[in-house]
Amino acid sequence: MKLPPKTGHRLVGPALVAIALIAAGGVALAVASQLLASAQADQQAARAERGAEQNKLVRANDEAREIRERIVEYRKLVDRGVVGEERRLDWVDRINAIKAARKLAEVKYAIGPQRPAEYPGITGGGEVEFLASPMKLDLALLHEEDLFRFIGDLRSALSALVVVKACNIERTAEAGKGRGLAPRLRAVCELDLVTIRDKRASKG
Amino acid sequence: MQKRLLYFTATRVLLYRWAHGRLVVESSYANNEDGAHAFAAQLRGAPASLFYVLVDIVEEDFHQENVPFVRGSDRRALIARKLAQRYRDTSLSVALSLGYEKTQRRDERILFSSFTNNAQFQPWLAALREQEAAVAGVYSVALLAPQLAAKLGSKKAPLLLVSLQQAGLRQTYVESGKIRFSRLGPLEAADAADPARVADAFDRETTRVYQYLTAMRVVAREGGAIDAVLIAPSGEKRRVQAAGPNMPQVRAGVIELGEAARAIGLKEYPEGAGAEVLFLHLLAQRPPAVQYAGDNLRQHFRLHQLRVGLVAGGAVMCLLALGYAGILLTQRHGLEEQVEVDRQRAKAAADEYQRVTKAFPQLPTTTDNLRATMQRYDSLTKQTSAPDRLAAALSQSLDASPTIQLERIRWELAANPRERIRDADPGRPRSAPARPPTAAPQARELYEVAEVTGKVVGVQSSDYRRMNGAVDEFVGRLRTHPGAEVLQVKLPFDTGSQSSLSGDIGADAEKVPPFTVIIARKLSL
Repeated sequence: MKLPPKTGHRLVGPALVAIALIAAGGVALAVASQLLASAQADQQAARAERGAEQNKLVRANDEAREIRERIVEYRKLVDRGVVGEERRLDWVDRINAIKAARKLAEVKYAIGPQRPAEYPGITGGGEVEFLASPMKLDLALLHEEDLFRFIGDLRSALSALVVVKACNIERTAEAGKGRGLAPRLRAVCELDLVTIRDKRASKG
Repeated sequence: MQKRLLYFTATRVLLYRWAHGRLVVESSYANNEDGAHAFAAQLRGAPASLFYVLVDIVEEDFHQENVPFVRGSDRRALIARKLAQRYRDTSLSVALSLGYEKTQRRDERILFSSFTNNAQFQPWLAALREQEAAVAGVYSVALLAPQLAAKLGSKKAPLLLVSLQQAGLRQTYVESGKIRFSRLGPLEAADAADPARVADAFDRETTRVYQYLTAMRVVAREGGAIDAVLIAPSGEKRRVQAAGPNMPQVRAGVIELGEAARAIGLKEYPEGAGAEVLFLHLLAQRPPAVQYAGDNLRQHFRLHQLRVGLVAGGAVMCLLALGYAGILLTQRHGLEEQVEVDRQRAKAAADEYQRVTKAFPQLPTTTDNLRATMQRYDSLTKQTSAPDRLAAALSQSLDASPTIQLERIRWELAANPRERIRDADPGRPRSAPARPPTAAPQARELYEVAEVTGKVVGVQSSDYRRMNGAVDEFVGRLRTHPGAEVLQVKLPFDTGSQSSLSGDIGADAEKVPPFTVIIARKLSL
């Protein structure tokens, strides 16, 4: 293509116009890109917020269902005295009452100092603490059924969860010698009297 | 930029202005030195324009020749050499490709054309050059005829176009959209003024050019009739029709100038103008790709193209950017709608959350504590048992085994009773200290285990077969209890090959050896 000589200056104007147009397009593109990026960020934030709120709602619904399911049992534990401080005097009264009611010849018991209960699945931190008071029972029995009834009475009467850990039932030396209603069995059992300390509940 | 067209005939040169399909005569000059001076004077004061020169003269030459199949610079050199061989002055010349021969050599058919007397243009072109006018090119009516033929007749079929211009009566033969022949037959002034003579001229010239074409074998004699379109002056259609060529080889159709102008989109043209206005309009609207002028004359047009190209390029880039920006903004709009939907859903979920939490029952503790308490409590109660269940199984078996008397039951909870039995020293009597199941705090299984010690009564101690048999019978009954599993049995007399066996036949018959059975039951955690 042949151009007239010395025409560079005649191209300056159109070149400037072209540059201005390209720059205008570039600015428009940059602004649009910026706006799109901002909208994308807004969308991510809104989506995250929506997800968080919906998750909260799902958790709240689960929690509501769980509360409805558990609150009845929990209140029963509170009413029984399982949740709260242990009541040893009350326990002693109840044991004496059971002995009298069952007409047991001999009931020896020893309750040790309270300590954190150590059972699989119930340890762990937090505001809820399961505490166990170890109790050793030594009973003279006419029949092994007396032991089972005694343990059953303890479970229903004491303000604690009664966990039987071990029992040794042995025929006594006097058994079978024909001395009337003398105890023929001796049972030695180890139990845990478990209570639950809820820091929030006790504060409340 | 305003488009101006210079219509160049042998006697006069007319300057037209074209805009939006309207053609206006600005000036008319005699084709001589004075006219050229007047034109130059007018150019000096005129605004910058884009000039198209349309030449309609007799002194033009068309020559078809086959050249070897070559490309690129070789082709350009070959064509330049051919033009130089044929024409003395090649400053206004052109070579049109008509296609390739269907032979093995594939020779290219080229129509060479030039004006044979360039001197008559020089003062006019010099005036344009002097004023640095942007001259798009120099064209002949013949170059534009294929466009007009395509609009008025068929695009592919051969067509003979006969039109009356100020320069005279032009006949152009177009085949497959390409010009094959063109000739201008000038009319005497007296003939041009008489409509009857003009009509006769149409007949005479059409017949003559057909005969020439057949003589030159451009048109085959036995090829059948060809179409001809005669563009009659305004109001002369009937006369031209009546005087039209009466020969079977030519199917002549007559169209009036006004009809032709409408057909090609020419809205307005000077009264009394000839068919040149059709060619001028087509030239202004869509100039042909080939033209006669060399690069020297078109320098300022090239500059104009470059200037326009720069601005157009910038505008295209700007439009592309704006278009893409528009797409991005549309996407943004879509995102904003999604954001709004997400926010509404989040708000609805938050409102629902408030409603659900307000409906929570009044708790004596926190929800987490409630959950922790009840989960651990459930876990603990599953680990809780009492000796009564295994004792019941023992009792049922004892009822059916009257010779068995139990001496001791050691009951405990254990996580891994088999392991404990395996680890125990077989030579040492097993003591069963009460151990909590915490020995394996992570155990997933828990068993209640009872070690039962007893003896067989009512059987002589020396009758070891009955004694062992009674114990086996008792153990067999224990095994039938659902859930109960006998882990170990130590008979009164251990007759296993791996054990020591001893006896004292004269010893005290009252001394009865004991047996031991370890029974377990799995708790469901």
